[in-house]
Amino acid sequence: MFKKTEKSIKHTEIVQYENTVDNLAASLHPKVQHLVLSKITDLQSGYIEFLFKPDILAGTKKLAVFRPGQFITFDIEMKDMKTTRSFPLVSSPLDARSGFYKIILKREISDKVGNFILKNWREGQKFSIGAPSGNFYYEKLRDFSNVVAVAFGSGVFPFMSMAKAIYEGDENFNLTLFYESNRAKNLVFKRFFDWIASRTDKVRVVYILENENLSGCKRGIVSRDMIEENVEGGYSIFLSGSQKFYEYMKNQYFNYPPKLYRTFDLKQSVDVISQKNYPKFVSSEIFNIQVKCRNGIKVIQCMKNQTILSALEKNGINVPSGCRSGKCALCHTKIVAGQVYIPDDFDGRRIADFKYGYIHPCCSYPLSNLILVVKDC
Amino acid sequence: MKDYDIIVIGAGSGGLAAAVTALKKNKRVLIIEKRNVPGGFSTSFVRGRFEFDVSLHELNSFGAYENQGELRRFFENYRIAPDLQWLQIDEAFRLISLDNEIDMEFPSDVWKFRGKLLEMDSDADLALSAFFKLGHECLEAENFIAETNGKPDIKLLRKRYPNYVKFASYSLDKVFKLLHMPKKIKDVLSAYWIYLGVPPEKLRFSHYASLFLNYLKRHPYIPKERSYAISLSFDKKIRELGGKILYNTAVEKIITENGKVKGVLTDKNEKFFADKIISNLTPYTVYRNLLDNPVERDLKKTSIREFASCGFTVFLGLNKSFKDLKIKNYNYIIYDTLDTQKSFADASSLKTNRMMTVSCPNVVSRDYSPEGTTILVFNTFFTADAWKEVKEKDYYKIKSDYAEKMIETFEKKLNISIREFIEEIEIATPVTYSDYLGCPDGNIYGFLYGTYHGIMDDLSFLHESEINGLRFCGGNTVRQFGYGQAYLSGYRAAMLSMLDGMDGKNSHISAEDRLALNEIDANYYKKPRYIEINIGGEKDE
Ligand SMILES: Cc1cc2nc3c(=O)[nH]c(=O)nc-3n(C[C@H](O)[C@H](O)[C@H](O)COP(=O)(O)OP(=O)(O)OC[C@H]3O[C@@H](n4cnc5c(N)ncnc54)[C@H](O)[C@@H]3O)c2cc1C
Ligand code: FES
Repeated sequence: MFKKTEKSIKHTEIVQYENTVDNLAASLHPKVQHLVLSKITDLQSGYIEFLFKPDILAGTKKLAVFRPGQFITFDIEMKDMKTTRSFPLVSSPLDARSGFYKIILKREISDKVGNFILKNWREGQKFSIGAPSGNFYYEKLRDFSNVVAVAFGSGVFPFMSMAKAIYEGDENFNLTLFYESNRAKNLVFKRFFDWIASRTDKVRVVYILENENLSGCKRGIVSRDMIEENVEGGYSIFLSGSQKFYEYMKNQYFNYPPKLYRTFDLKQSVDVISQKNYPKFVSSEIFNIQVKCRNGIKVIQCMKNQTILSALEKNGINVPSGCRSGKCALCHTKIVAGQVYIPDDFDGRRIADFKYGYIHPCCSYPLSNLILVVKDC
Repeated sequence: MKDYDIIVIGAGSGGLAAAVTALKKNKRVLIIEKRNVPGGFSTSFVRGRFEFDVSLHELNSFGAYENQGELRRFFENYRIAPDLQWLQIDEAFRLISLDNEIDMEFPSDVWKFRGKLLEMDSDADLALSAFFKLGHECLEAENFIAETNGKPDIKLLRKRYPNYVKFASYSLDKVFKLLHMPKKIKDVLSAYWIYLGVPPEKLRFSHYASLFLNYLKRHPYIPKERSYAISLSFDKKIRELGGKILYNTAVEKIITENGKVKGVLTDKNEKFFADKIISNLTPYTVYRNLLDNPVERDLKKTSIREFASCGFTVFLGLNKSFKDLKIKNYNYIIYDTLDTQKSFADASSLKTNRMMTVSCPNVVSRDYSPEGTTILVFNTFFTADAWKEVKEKDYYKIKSDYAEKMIETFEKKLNISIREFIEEIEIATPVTYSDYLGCPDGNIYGFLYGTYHGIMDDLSFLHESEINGLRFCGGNTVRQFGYGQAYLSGYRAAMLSMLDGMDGKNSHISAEDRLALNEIDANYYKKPRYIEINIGGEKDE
């Protein structure tokens, strides 16, 4: 019975498949992309733009295309700790095909990592990142073709990419952006949007100033009424800003179907203690965490209003991370003992995570001493 | 130098089962997994209010507690996932053809299923009896062969399973012909081929039998907590038994010396040593990417088998209950036409492929997703060439257009609306599957189980390596794809690996010995079976 097989083995040529689909996968979702920071531009008014090109010498010939609204994640290596930061791409898919990515940072970033970046990143510097990721993008099968976007300050970044992609024909939907600021001088990207809006009917911008009157701008604060005065028919709403702003909009859109209501989630600082369901009594300001990792056990400390991920990072324990908002599951970690608080908006745990004790430390805060098992350190 | 008794590469379903099996025998085991979670395909993801199972729609050879299949016995024995809610699926499928030839529901119970077929044509009684008997014998024979890792005592095999030896390498279609199966009934019995990726003319009967008939015999099952929970349960068990799992770590090389396994090298530049390795990655991947000096014969063996098909999945979270949406079935199988050869040929292009399966877990468990919502998952497959033409620039548009086409076809045929209720959507293409788990060219269906070579080939030593100490497990490795197979192949690989001789040779153990060793199936083979099948016509060739 086996003779037949033996014969067929003998006469078989060794096949090497073409792997066309694997190659497509590698260019759409590369595991690493080597970049050179090719240009830093001070946009005045407090914003700095970083332009990256593929590092051809290191083997990256072209950049992965992405969906407008996605972000890229950088490993940041500081003297005393390693961490990650993600930034929405402000450039478009066409820009990626032409060979560059752009991100923008605000100058007065109060946090240590932001300051480190502004101080240390130099033109010519090399970086290795993964593929762009995130789920904040237009999806024609789900969203209305009318999309209302609302943003303050740097919340506007993902919409810059969307607007440009619409103008360039890579995306096809109607975008009405409500772009709010306290004063005219802080509507930093007005010129960019005016330029796009004057070239395509599909992008409209409504400017809103809180404290100033200016022709062409509405005075006040954005509200559902204001939006509905300006938009006809059904629409999906895309929000990008702080958690406080999301709360405010949630009240405005109380009972609005979640289908039509999407938020850009990249973690900003969350005032965890003031969250609605944060426990009234927490036994201490600071807790001990016993961490089991590849090379043994470490005991570290974490403040009650500090994410566990940041405590791990500050103590030199490496946990992969990306979105830092409970969505990408990269930081997935086992909790063996103790209690944590996780704000509802950032709780991306799966049913089995609850059952078998796993958390996303990027948005978990200690409520007691803890024992964790990290996967990689 | 030896750090571990066994190193398992990959914590997919096969690798996890292998590790637990070896740990239970007090071996020192290390598992190395590239991703940050266990399970491979056996996982889930969250979008908004919904948690989607990546791949599990029907678990094979599990069965009710009172009617345990091989897989359930393994789970019970090793206390895997004891605390999950297992949902029995009473429906085999609702078969629909777009050309209106059929639209009928079929239950997932052998007797009821047969009853339904007999309603369609009562003259088929004899043919059906023979068909199911033959199928049953195939199931048993394949288990027997698997237990012996493809080196069964042939005499014993012939004696116990004479019909298997005779007919198993026939195609499903050929068996139909031999039995003079009426066309209508043939169409229904063939419906399942969409899950196997091979049309009845090419599908080997034994392969068909071991999947489809197994479902009918014990009903399909799913855990309410998603397949990811099974994976985490394995992880927990492995830790309890003192096993070590390294996540976020990929194996880059298998270190060999004089044709023997020595250890592995990881992407973090660590080396771990063991003289036994069980790979959850396909032989194809291992020989081409992980070994510096693959053996020619091994490379040839992986060249004999063709990859089957690549997958395309649309995950939908709908903001309306399945009742309000008027979705009545768990599992729809939809073909353009019941002409299987045409459907298969159409699968080679995005333009022509119209077949699909649609499954709705809420039908089995109403609160599978939050109240007032429904999860609906569309699946189809393409043969390898279909995605070759896709350009990077058009990729996102193509995937969304194709998903739209599937949804529209379903809406139109069932006269229901879906689209306006889509709250969350995720689309997985062959590119996604290639990216996520590195299955070659997005192929999720293992190998083509054609009839082009001998009975034993993919049951037997095609997956065995010439390298001593190296064994394989998993869905794309041994025989057949799928969860049941992946877990059980892990169990078997571990059992055999432990037997692999000190003399450096992979073990060749007689069927009798193997039976004695097997703790699970000890009683399974007690009485020899002779089943006379009433088949006239052709001779065995
Ligand atoms: C959409 C879809 C639907 C399906 N539906 C069903 C169904 O209803 N019923 C059914 O029975 N089956 C179904 N299947 C098939 C089933 O999911 C698979 O056959 C089975 O899960 C495969 O398991 P495996 O053991 O081969 O491991 P895999 O899941 O392939 O896992 C391999 C593991 O190895 C890891 N790995 C890869 N490379 C390396 C490396 N270099 N170093 C370390 N680790 C590595 C991977 O990360 C992964 O965790 C479906 C599959 C798909 C895609
Ligand atoms: S970093 Fe994304 S979930 Fe924690």
